[in-house]
Order: sequence, then C-alpha cells, then structure tokens
Amino acid sequence: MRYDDNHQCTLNYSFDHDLDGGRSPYIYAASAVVCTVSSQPSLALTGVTEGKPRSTANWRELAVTARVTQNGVPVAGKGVNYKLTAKAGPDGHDHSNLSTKPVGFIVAGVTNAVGELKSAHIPSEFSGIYSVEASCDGCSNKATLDVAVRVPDLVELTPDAANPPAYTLVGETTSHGRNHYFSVPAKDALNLLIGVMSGLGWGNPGINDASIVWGGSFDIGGGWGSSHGGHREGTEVDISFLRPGLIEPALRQKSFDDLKKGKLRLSPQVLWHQFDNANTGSKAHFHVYLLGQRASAITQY
Amino acid sequence: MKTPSLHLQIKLTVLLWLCFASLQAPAQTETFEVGTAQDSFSRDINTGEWVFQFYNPDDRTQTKVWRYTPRNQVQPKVRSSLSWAGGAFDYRYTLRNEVSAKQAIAYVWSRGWFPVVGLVPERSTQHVRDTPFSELLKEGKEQLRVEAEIRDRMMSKPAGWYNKWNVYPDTGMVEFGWFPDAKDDTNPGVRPAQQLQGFGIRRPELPGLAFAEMEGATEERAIMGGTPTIGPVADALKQLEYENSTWTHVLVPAIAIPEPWDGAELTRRIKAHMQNWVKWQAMTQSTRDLINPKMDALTAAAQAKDKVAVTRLVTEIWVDIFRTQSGMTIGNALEDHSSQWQTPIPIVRTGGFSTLFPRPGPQPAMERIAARTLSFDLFYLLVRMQIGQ
Repeated sequence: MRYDDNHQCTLNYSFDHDLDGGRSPYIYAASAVVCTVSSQPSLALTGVTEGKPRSTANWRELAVTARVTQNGVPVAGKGVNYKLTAKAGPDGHDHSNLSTKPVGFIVAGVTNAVGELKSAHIPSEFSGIYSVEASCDGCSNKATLDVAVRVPDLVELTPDAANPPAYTLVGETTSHGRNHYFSVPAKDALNLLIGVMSGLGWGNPGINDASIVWGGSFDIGGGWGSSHGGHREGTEVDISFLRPGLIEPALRQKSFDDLKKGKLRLSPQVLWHQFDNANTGSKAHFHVYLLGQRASAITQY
Repeated sequence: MKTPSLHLQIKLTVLLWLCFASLQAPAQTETFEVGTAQDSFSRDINTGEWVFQFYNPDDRTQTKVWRYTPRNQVQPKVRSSLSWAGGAFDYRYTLRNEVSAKQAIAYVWSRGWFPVVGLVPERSTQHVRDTPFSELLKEGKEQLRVEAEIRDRMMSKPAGWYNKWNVYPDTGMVEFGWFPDAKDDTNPGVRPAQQLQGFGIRRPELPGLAFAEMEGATEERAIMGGTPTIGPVADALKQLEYENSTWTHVLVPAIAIPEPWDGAELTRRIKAHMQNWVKWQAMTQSTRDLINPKMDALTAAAQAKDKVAVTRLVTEIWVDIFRTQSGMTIGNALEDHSSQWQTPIPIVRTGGFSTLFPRPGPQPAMERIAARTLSFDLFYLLVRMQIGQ
C-alpha cells in the first residue's frame, strides 16, 4: 500500500477460516504495518483537468504543476519531462486512430526552490481525453493526470419525430456519427432559422454538420486534418442543397439574400458555398453563422 | 535575478512555442492567402464585368477563371413621400429601375430608429436547454408569427414581395426592407423600365435620412473564399464587394417626438441626427457648420418658449437650406418629397479603380432629400410651438 509519496507500507496479517465454518476469510490478526522509506525522489502532478480545444474562442493554456520531493523535502533543480497521450473518450470522434491524434504540448523544465515546476499545457485543437504523464530522472514513479479537452455545454439536436418533419438531419458518417451538437443559444437560433427557411419554401431543411459531441476541430475525413474549421463550437451549421430534396439555384439565391440581410433577432450570417469542392468532396451548401459571427468579407460568398 | 512570474513564464513559453510553430510554416509568399504572382484581374468598365484568374500556389497547372458582374447593374430611383394619417406618418416609397439598367432590383434594404413593442421575449438559456426541440420549434414559429404580424401592421409591400426586418432593442435601430417572393421564380424584382410602388412604413417618428441599399438580381455565381487577402488582386476583390450594391438616400422614421412635448429636446434630437449627414454624403461639412450654431440658438429659444425667436431662427435655417436647392421655396418644400426622385450617391474611388455609379461630379452642398427632411422637421417644431403644446 502506497499512502504517500515516499513510504511504501505493508500490512502484515493472517486469516482464521474457522470462525464461520470456513465460509469467509476473516482477518484473524493484523499484526503490524511495516513501512519502508524510499531512497528516491518522487513526483506528484496537479493541474487543470478541463479546458477548451486550442483555436476555439477564449481557449486558454492550461497549467500543470509537477512537485518533486524526497522524504517530504522539496527537490530543487530536478528536470521534469512530460508525455501527452490521447485516450478514447466520448468526444464524438468515432475514428480510432488515436496514436496519430495531435495531442497538444507541455513545456518541460526544472523544479524551482520549492520543488515545483509550473508548466503551460497547450491543449490539442481536437477534443478528447488526454493523459498527461510526468517523469523525472531518478524518480521512483511517474505521475499522471487526465485532462478533458472540450467545448462545454454543447447540446444535441435529435431527429424530428413529427410527420412531416420540420427538418431532416443529414451528414452522419462513420468517422463522426454525432455531428449535430450546438451551443444552447445557437440551437435556439437554429430553431428560428428552420422557421424562416420553411417560410421561404424549403420544406424541411436538411441540417448537416454542426459540431461533434465535445466540439473542437471537426476533421471531416477522420484523419485529424484541419478541414471544416468553423464547426468547432456548435455555433455554425451547414444546410444541405441536396438532401432531403434538391433546392433549386433560384431559391438558393433568394434565400441567400434573405438570410444575409434578415438577421432574425439572433443575427445569423450566411456563407454560401456555391461550388462543389473537389478537394474535400464537399457539395455546395449554405454555411450559417447562427449567432451572427462575421465571416471574412470575401468568404461571405 | 528575479524569477519571472508564472503568468509571464507561461506567456514566454507560448510565445516560444508559437515561434517554433511559425518556423515550421512556409514563408508568407505564394500561399492561398497571398496568392501567386500570376494571379490577375481585369475589368470591363462598360459592362462592369470583372475577370479574375487564380492559380493554385501548390500546383501552377491548376487555374481557375472567375467572371462576375457586380449586382450594382441597376439604375434605381427612389421617391420618398410622407403624409400624416391616422395618428402616424405614412412613409411611402416608389422604386423605378431605368430602362438602361442591366439587372432587376432584387432587394431593398434600409434602416430607421424607432422602438418595436410586443415582440416575444427571447428564451432563456435554461429554457432552451430544458425544453424539447419540438416544443422550441412551436415556440419559434409562434415568435415568428407574432413578429410578422407586428411587421405587417407597420410595413406595407407590393404584391409579389415580402418584408423583413432586424430589430436592435439596445440601439433603437431597426433595419427593414423588401424582397421579391422567394417561392416565385418568375419574379426577379423591379425589372429595367419598371416602376413599382407599395413599399411603405407607418410610424409616429419624424423623418430622418438613411440609405436604401439595393442590389440587382443575378444568376452569376459569386466566389466562396480561398482568394488572396493581400495585394492588388485582393484590393480588386474588396472593390468588387464594395460596389456590389447601390446606396440611395430615403426618408425614414428616425426622430422620436418628445413625450411630454419638449421643443428644445426635439431640436436637440434633430441636430444629433443631422450630424451623421456629412458622413452619409447628404450634406457638406461647411453646410453643417453653417446650420449647427443656428440649431443651438433654436434650442435655447425653444427652451425659453420664445415663439418669435423660434420663428425667426427656423426661417433663417430655411433660407440657408433652400439656397442650396434650385427652385425650392417654403411654398413647395413640404410637398416636394413626392415629386423628387433620388438617385444613388456616387461612391468614393478607392485604389484607383473606376466606379460605375451613375451620378458623378461634385457633391452638392446638401442633398435635396436632406433639405426636405430638415425643412419638414423644423416646420413640425414651428407648428407645435405655435399651438403651444
């Protein structure tokens, strides 16, 4: 039993099987706790265990603190290294190639006079659970800390069970089967957008990619690439021109004018991908900034 | 040596990390952001068409030619009229698209300053979080229905068009406008040589000025980004976007009448609104400098309830503004709205590009519609001062 950083202790005991006819192993005698004092420094790790993915709004570097002691005494000048590892988690990335997932970065360093090294943890742009492992030369142990990198409070848009439905969810893939997560204000804006599009003659609009479960970079191809950059925080959504039904070019044009100027009261802005993109396989569609975030001047088209 | 704070250490670390990252990136030349040296553009000043040729920085054998005619190929004229009826001012607009226009006017968008009451309050975050989306959809539909009902009571529209607005409660501004029916493929908007009336808004606020932004109907595909953002090609793209619509002055509800009545406060509001007119190219700086001190004197006279002084100062301002307008007198000023067509303002040339706007030449001391607006608002002040309430 390890009960602190520097002591390895063992409880000596024996069993008496006769007390209840041999059915249970009752402890008969706890004789002594025997502890040995480690002769090596040991390492402990504390820090922030949840943060936003890099490149999302207001993301921050996370702080981790490694502490090296020996027999309870801080050890200064001890070099500490870090290793980050991606773990499987409920983040919405359904592709299992974790070994190549970009994991972020933590700065290695040397402990100060009180045996501590405070380091910046630059989180990955991809959401997920990351294991931080700290080690130091000659230390008796490695210390670990799990950090959840996620956009908090995203909520799912589920299929509309009404007949006929007010909208249709599209765009699920084997790499990202849950692609309809929104921030709460954006979900409300989408609610109004669906009403407006229905009024424009869209029938039940096809709601394509928003964000995955924990947000962050949405690598369409499942290869940890950087495409689909806007779909990180559940505030932008693609509206299909092709599914569930074809939207004719004239209606696309008039809808674009309407959506570009008419901001409801929640100010959606629209980027119109008018061309199929041969590089990504993406078909023409509307990309809607549900909270009125301004696209760059040219990309508004 | 003093040890840097944790905050500073982290910042320095991030900086170093970013520097490291940037060293890995290619130099800022020949990228999709900057474009390539072979990227080019040309423009036909007669047709307005732009032709861009882009090359893939990673593979020069890949090139794309993009042709686009801006949506300013309309020749709009707007006639703003104003009348008092049933407890509110009736703002009416007639649009004309000249026969020489190459595009139909596909939307009309303006703004005013007035409150909108009765809108459904926005839902709280907690409510949105806790309510099934199917219920939210019902609430959203009801919200849109209520909003459309209020809007339809306030705004009129021609057959085949619909209205729309954006309400900004924090600033009191309302953007409003009209679009041809999206479901009707046969209606692109106001066609060349066509005149259309029926656009209107009823509000109790006195008139001010705003722009009506108009764009033409087009079937040409606009581009979707990935274009250079720095350099001459990028400048041309910005110019294209800048010219993609036309801007024409219109009368809009803008100046709330103080309640209870306060003539001095009204003059302050008129003057505050008028300060925008130089920026909006409705008045020159020298004209504003001429009128501003008289507006201040008018405020003092109204504050003192000195009807004689108010009348004298209003007359002086009228003389100043009528002097800028050919044929305008106090006898015809108030009716002049309904007979005057306003055309788009010329835009300032940028980057050495020629512009296509139809009204070149020196800026007048005061746009005619601005003169009408100010004369109307001062007439209203005079009437209220004379009747003593």
